[in-house]
Amino acid sequence: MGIIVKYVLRNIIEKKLRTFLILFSILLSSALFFASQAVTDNVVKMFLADARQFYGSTDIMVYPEKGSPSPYLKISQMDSFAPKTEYVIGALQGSAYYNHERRETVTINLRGTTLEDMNIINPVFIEGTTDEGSFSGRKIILSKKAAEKYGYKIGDSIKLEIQGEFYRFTIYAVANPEGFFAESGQTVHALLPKSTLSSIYGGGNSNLNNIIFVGLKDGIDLNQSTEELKGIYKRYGVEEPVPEEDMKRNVQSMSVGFMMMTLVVGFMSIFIIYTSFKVITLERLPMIGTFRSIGATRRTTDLVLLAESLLYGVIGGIIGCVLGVGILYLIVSFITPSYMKGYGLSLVYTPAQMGSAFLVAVLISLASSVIPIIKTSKIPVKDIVLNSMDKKAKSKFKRYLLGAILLVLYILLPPLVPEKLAIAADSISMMFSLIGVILLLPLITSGFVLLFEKIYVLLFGNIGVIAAKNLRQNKNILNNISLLSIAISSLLMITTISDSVLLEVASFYTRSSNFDIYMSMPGAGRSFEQSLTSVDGVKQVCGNISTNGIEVVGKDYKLVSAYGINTEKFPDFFLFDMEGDKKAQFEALNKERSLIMSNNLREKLGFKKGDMITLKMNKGDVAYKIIAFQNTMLDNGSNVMISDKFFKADTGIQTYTELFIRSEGDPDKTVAAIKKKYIRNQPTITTMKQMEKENYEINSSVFRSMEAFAYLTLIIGIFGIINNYIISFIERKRSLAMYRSIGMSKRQTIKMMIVESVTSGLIGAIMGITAGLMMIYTVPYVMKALFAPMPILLNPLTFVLSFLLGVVITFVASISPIMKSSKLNLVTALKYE
Amino acid sequence: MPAIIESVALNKTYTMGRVDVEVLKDINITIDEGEFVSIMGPSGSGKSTLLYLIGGLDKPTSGRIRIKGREMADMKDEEESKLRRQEIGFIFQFYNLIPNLNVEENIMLPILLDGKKLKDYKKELDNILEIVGLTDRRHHTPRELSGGQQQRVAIARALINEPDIILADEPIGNLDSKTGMEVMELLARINKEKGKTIIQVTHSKEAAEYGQRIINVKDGKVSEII
Repeated sequence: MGIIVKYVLRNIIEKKLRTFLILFSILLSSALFFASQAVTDNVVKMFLADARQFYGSTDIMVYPEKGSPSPYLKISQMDSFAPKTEYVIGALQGSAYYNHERRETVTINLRGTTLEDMNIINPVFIEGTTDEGSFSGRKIILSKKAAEKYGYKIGDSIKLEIQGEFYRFTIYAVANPEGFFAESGQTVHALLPKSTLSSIYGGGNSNLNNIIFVGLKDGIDLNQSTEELKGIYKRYGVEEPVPEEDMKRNVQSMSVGFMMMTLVVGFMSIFIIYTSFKVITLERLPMIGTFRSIGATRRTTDLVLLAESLLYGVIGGIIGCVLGVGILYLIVSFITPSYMKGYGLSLVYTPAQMGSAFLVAVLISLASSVIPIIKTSKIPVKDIVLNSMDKKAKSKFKRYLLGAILLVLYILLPPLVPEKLAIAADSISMMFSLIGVILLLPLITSGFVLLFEKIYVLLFGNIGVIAAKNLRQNKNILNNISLLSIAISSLLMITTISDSVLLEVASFYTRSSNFDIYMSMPGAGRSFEQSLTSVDGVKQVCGNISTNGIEVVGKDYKLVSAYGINTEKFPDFFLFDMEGDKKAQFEALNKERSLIMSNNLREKLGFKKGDMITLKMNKGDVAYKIIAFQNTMLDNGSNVMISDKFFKADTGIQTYTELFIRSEGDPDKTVAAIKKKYIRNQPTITTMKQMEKENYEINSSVFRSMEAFAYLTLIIGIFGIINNYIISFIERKRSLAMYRSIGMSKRQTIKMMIVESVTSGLIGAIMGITAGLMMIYTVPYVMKALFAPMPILLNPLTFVLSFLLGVVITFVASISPIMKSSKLNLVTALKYE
Repeated sequence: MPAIIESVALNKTYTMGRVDVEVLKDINITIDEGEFVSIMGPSGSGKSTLLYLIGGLDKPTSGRIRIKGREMADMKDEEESKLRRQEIGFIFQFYNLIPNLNVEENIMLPILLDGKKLKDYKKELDNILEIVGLTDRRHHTPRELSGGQQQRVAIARALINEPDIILADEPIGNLDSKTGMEVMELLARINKEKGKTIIQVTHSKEAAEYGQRIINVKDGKVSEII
């Protein structure tokens, strides 16, 4: 046994490229599997961290809303609930304006609290304090970034405007940009003693609260507590500051995308390991024959080969886990928006995720090698020793039949499986299409050869015909075509999805809108809408009310958005794709409680025109009649439109959530003019072009990461192709020498090999594009299951590039064998190979 | 009969590791047109090397080879390849057929390499398949043929372009004696009926006797010509 192991180890070391290729395939599969699993948690963590910067460890916050009885809260109402809490801290939030050198007005978010309370909610890290006593009176803590930007240091005095009055504050401390002070964009945060801010806002009252931060004790149920507090603080806002579950749901589609790409990489690895082990077992036949003839059992030789496979799996798994952390870091840092990069990246992953990635490596290696090992095991020892194995071409009928069955399943599965199983079934169906194509490749290649023979005789003469014939049933070339097909199909699929999302979905909002500027501002109502039209550059304004997460009663589903629209203006500000008389249908919304629903919702929830739908509105459960449907990708196709008349009454929301503005002339100038006029009202305003750009940037970083997976598939494929060309050259030496012996010149040999490589590249590219298009067929089903519908945009340039890629890769990979063929020792090749 | 092949002061030295091995030493032979010559000798004597030098598959260290009066040393790759396509047919011990091409396609390879149209050679193909007795196997691949049948395909391939010279390296070395003799009969018939010059390298005395002359090579030298 020791000798056999030694022999195997020596072989592993000697065949460096093959060993590298197998290990590389395994470790990449394992690393990508690990990263795909962990990416969701990390992205959620990243957004949670961003959201939590403001609310720290708070589990529930209570705050007054528009319809609340008072703009302030009594903390004493919390007494009965207090035993369940770790802390209950009341604070006062407000805003101030700072005029920097009379040129720039800056809005500052103020939080009034004690430093001790603040440190419980969200620790503040300060760099020294003034010598003037404790944090009380007219003192302020500024962020380091703001202090540096506006030229302030500890002990300086700063003048702020609060509620129309000017106040001077001494800078008590400067805080590091963490937690509450981790500033993003233009927002500046500052901390004031609660009593100081209360006395400014409430005259004589020095203990006002307009927000209560609640930290629950360990083991206390969050949802139950939220409901309990809603009962205590009726008509106030009570909610989890950062809904983690919602966030997880939102990033699920990202995780599915990464996992699908990992599946493709895994399939490529399995293919490479399987084909490599076919060569390995063939090479080891003399060893197996010798050892079995001197008494080694079949089990012993099988175990040795399996141990070799296990060794690859274990090494690949270990390196894969380490590499996985690196890949995860790259993905997370790549998809982290630039404003969040300041927090520093710390990754989260579990031992279970690492263990499963390691297991994937071992399983991929063992599963891919077991069939060649079993096949070899079945060869009688006499046949091995005498080299009298059956060399007749085996019928490929079963292979083709299986390929055809897989293709039929691939077509049938996506439309037939129930929605709950859709993601898994569609992913399997996607793999079926790829496996089906690979199984049918020899048959398809033979068909191509017949075609190319006819074309090549005209283009390249008889050498072209020989080259085409050589492709027939040549296992190395078929392997190359398979590798190219897998690599190109995965690249094409992800590029097409990426193009579709980036060019179609990300720009949908702007393409379907008929206005230039988007604005939101607290308290904006009809009079503000009117006054906006007086700003330079503003042509028309349409105010709109919307709310998120309204529950559909009896359907266990929450709408992404519900809109309360001005039925006269709104249809003119958005381009709708709906059947029937658009104007009449919008007007009908005013007649009774009715709504227009997106077609995606209709399909998902199974409604038809005229049905009643009950929504959980603020005033209670309200039934609406569905009067029309429209095609839209807005809010992932999960929205309804209701007349603002009924919407205001049912939700109690009276002010506009957003305002759509049409601009005369340059929208950027109009935005600047609006900002200048309304800076004190804290507007959020952007041009649609800017919004589209930001949308594009957010989506592009995610998709570029997924494309990186596809490029990794391509890299493994290229190594595989190079390896195949080397094996192919070694196996073909005798054939090449024979061609030379019957009069093929060196020039003709080179021409033949170039035509062969270019042709295999062409077939690989054609099959890759075909398989890619087939995989794309399943994507809308997956996206529908994720409730992120999307049209597919096929970019002709991607197809042209895929062709070129296939041809260039095989051509470049074949250069070395072509060069070697010119220096081939004919006598050695003919007599001794 | 005029000489079709001449070797003058032919030497071949291989470098194996750091040692130079003189495989052929001062070989001077002349083979006439239409002759059937057998080259014999023990393993490693240099007989195959001599055959490959004559066929232009290897280059001599020194000396000259003339084929139909033309100096091989003066030929460039294109010219030498053309010579192998049109004037020389090779037969090997291990047949050296292309496994994924069928019988017809393997036989027609020299025609294809010569840039000729296959349809113009249909008659010749039928004729040769008739001679080698493989008409009913024309669409089979080498894997589906016996050793003897594969060697017949190799002979047909060597003949399809009507070359004047056939070089055979142990043509029956991989066949049983009955099949071997059938192949030798075929070669003798080709020599006699078609007037082809045949040079075969063989270990078999029985096969060698099909030749009109036997050249014995020992330690890189021609020891005797019978």
